[in-house]
Amino acid sequence: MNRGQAGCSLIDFEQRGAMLRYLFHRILQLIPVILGVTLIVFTLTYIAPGDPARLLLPQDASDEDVAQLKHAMGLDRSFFVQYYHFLFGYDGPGDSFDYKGLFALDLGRSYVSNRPVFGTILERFPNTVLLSTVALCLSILVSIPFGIISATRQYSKTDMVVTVLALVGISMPAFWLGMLLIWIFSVQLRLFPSLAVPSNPLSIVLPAITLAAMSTAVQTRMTRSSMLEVMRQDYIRTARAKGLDEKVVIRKHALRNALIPVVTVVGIQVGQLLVGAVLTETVFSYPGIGTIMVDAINRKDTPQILASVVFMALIFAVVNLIVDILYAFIDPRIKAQYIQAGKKKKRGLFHVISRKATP
Amino acid sequence: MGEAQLSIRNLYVEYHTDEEVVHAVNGISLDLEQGESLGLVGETGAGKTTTALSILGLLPKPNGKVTSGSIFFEGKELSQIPEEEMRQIRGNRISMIFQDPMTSLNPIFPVGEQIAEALEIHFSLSKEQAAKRTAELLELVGIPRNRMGEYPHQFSGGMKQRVVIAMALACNPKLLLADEPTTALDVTIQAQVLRMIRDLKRRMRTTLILISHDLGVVAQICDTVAIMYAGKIMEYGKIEDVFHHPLHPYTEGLFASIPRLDRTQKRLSSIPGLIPDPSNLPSGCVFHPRCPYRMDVCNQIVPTTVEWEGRKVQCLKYQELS
Amino acid sequence: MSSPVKPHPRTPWQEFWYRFRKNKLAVGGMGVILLYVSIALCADLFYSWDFIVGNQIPNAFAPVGTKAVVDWGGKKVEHLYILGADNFGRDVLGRMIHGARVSMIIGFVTIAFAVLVGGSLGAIAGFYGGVLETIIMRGADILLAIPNMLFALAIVAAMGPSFQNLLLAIGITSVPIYVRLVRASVLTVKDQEFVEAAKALGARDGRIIVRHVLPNCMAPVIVQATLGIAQSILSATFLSFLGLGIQPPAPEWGNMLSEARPYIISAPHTLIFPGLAIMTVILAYNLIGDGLRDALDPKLRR
Repeated sequence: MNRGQAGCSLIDFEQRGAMLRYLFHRILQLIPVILGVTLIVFTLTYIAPGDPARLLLPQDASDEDVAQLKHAMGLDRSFFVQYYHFLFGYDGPGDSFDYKGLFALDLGRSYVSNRPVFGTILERFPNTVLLSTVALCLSILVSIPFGIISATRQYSKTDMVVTVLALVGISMPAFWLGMLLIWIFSVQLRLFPSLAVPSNPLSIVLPAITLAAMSTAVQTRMTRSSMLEVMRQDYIRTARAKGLDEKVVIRKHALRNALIPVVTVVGIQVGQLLVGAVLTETVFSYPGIGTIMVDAINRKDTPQILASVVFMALIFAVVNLIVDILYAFIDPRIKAQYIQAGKKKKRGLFHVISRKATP
Repeated sequence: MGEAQLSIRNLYVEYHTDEEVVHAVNGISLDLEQGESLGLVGETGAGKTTTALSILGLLPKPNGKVTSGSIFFEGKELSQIPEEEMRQIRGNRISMIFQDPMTSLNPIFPVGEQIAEALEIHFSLSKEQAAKRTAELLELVGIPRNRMGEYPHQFSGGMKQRVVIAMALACNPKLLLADEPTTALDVTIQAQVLRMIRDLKRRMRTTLILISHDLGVVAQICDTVAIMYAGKIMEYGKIEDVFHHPLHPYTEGLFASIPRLDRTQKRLSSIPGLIPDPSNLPSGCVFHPRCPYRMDVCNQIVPTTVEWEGRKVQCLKYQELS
Repeated sequence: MSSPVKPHPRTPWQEFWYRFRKNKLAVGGMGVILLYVSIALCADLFYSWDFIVGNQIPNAFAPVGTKAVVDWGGKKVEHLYILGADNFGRDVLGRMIHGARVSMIIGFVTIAFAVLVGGSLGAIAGFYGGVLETIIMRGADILLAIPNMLFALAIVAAMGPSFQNLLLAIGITSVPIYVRLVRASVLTVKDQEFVEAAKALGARDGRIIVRHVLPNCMAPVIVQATLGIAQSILSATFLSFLGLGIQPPAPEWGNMLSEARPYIISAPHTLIFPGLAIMTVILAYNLIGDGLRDALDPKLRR
């Protein structure tokens, strides 16, 4: 009550500053993570047995030839010099092994196809994004309603069925599920093709279900338990005591609170979907970065392996960052602060974001 | 005596868990007239909150259940009316102030919206009308109207309790159940909130059931008092009668455990023993294991309620008086 | 409405066991795992290794329940293919039983490694703090920033597919979660009175950690480890499926599925049974994990 207007604006200012600092801090945190991830992946290839130079040359090449090629490729330099090259580019004696480094999205050419490795990745990445997005939407559309139904009718038959299916879902290896679906829907029922291509929407159905299964199960379990937790809260009782319809209590008061933790889980699932895509793409021979990676591994195509692993790890890190920031905006305890801050000083990045986050 | 506004008849409530059956309320009967205020006093676990929740029909599902008895409100038996009609009563004719203001407000809605909600559904007010009324309500409980759009986390505990009270008063309820409305608050704010409830009660002629374990708080506000122990009403009467001449040994014990300024006491006495396990209540009189006046029959005979001069007591000491 | 305290004259262990036993699903899961472990231990009694890795080309794709003649040590022997034969005429059930052994070993070894290494690092970080803590926790953060399976895949891809590398890859990727768990528990326990008291009595750090701090953070670690075993087994089948784990002819559920993949049409039994085996084991561990969590964490009790 004693807090005057001046006090309020001071608090807004502090809160806004705190959020800015939070954002800045989170983005800053990404830098060591990126460096760490790149260092780990690079170290792995550095200590890997097998000499790429020897692999590139014919079987009967002399040691001298190998040494020469190693020099040309910069593989005779020290670990740290090579890591530096990996990040910022390499300019060797010849031109054929030059690359501009990870930060320029150039890690040289594939040993197999001789095409720029990131060229291939960026070309196929949209396919993986398409598959993952379809799977993500599918999993959200299925998991949240079923999680809610299951929680609001705890111990009912529906709840039992949903709970059991979700348990089976988290226990089923994606590649097995994919093959089962092919066996049932392609081989037996002939409803969907067993090979998937991005241009044919029908062929995406089975891979999308395969990929979505695990996430759906995880999210259903999360929604259910979060919803059960929220339904036990005192404020739900308060809402009922007001005389609200049970449907309104669930939709308005419980659901939004229950979804806050679910958002985090969905965020984690985005990363998991990208990894799951590796398997799903392999099973359905779908041309995404998963198949690039598996092909590269089978052919010992080091630059391509390196590029695809680093690329996926970075995408994973960035997606997690975005989810973290979104999470801060969805929780109204923090969101309210933005809206207030937005009222004070109209045009600001946060204002725009907070408006978007408000339904 | 006129027609009672609220009448509870021999109410029994149980909570069923996997492991045990908790006998929370064991046959209580109460009558309240319009405008009366009753203090419901007892230790934690005596069944006070359960009684209030069963009036509203909000016992936790699926564990809590009214096993027998009935509750009449304005002549209607609440358990017999359809859920739809019960919703019309909740928050409108009967409302409740909940115990813990920290957790009783939804963290993701502005407080104003939470108050306006009840107005919108019960009085079919438009958003604007509801907002106007909400602002008035907030000022009534001493919160500036410009804080309407703020979220619960921006309020202190005392302010949240005021919001909870404003919410309960929104529709001018005929019966207000106040569950420990001041327990979570500082002493100074306690006094303010109590004064507020008393003023509101006078102004609106609201019937009040004040649940508390604090006899002092009850003395300030209530006309009558019911002392609860292990889900039973041990003693009931006008506040002066009960305070000046407690009849039940448990009531005596409660008063002896309050420090008094008008008498010199060497030490505060406390009631020996613990409140009984409600899943395994003692035989006979539920209070007998802790009773200083215990007689041989106390663990065998369940005392019936003895009633005279508007007072009621459940103790074998008074059994012959009837 | 708080229910009054009811005295339970049970030790924490009895209390835990009482709660766990009431969860029928978790007990069922435990039964399944015990069954799998005993089958894995006795694998050689059911089928000899040489038999399940040796080709019996004439019996390729024999359906479920086929009686066929096999070439065994130069002699012709009649053999019942209970769950049929794969593309090389090898007994599917026999390969699954020996595959169970591999999966069980992978599950236990990798998680034992991760708990020991991660737990020690977490205890050190939590107990000593300072620069050591910063280094350990940053390292864990970075490892956690790479999806587990991707990281394991990168390690095996770089080091080459072998059983040791598979164990190493899955073990290493499982470490960071235990670092975090144990450190968090240590931090909450560290400043409590009984640890202060032990310090005041002059107990050595190692003794305090082992005697006082670790027992207090066992509950979350046990739950995580149970779920972790499931994750490890799943990772191993995934890597083997991609040809990066156990190499055929040695049987592993993942590589059995990989080998079955081209023959979905002609021999679905080679696809269905190994997958079912994976699913039931993972399911069982998940059920046990859920049961343990409910039994060990009083806060989550319903």
